[in-house]
Amino acid sequence: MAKDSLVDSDPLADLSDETLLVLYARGDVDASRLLMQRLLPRILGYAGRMLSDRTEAEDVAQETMLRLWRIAPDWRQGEAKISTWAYRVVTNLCTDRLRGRKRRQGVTLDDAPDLADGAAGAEAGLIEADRMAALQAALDTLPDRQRQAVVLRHIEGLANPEIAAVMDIGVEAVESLTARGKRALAAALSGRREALGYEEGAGG
Amino acid sequence: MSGWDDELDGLLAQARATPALPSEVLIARVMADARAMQGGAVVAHAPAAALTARPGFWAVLTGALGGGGALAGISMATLAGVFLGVTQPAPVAAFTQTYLTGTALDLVDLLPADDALWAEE
Repeated sequence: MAKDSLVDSDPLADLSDETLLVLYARGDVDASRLLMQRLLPRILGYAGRMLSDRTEAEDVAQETMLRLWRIAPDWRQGEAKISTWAYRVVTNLCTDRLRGRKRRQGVTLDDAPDLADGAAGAEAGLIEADRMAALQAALDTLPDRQRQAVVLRHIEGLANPEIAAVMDIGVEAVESLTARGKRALAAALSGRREALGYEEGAGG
Repeated sequence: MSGWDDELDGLLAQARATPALPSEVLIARVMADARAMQGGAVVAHAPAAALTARPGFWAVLTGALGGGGALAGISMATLAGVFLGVTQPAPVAAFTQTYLTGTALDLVDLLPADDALWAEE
């Protein structure tokens, strides 16, 4: 009778990321699948916000997971959260790619996609995808470090100490970057207020 | 301004509530990497219970004694002791006989006599 109860629920679901990584290192395929389900959407979303390019974000996410699989047998228990480690790898990979882009072509703010303009005024409110596109276009105007801090804090929902660990800076520097980044984001978006459909409500 | 800040916060919260959905292709690529990096040690599913399963008697004994190699060494030493006890080679027999019959050990000549060396002079 007890045999069936073992099958009813996934015994891995309650395990920590670290335990899943240990199980993976011991050869458990299911553990790696669950770990991927937990981490991949987060690091893919973060990379997407940083790079503004789906294909490149997928490459970065795959590379980050590959590094995790590679380090699994040597993972030091208790030293860092796996998600923090993963965000850090994504940050470094994105920084490298962004530097490469700037070397190849002088990116200017004018190159940022102006996705919302075409739909402005068509309806009273814009669909969610347009609002997210407008947010992304505004994020793209921020300096890289400010964008990292704002995305990690306000979209990924990390606490400041964890962001400090991801970005390899102090907590005070994180607070400064998020504050400046959010002000710059507000300024960039204010120019798109009309496109975002906030014109009537936000002015008061 | 605060009204606009609220709107910005709302926009960020909306972004937070819209997780990225990995494509099936990306998931397949990541899982292929996972399997490749596991090498030959792949099992279909190692249940979590395996982590807490109680090891068997021989596993405990072997582990306590330092692993399979150590256990083999200890076994050989034991067998050698049994062999010596049963066969009683001449030197062992001489020693045990002397010891058991009460002859004082300082009278037993365990080292070869060196009298001959001194006698030369």
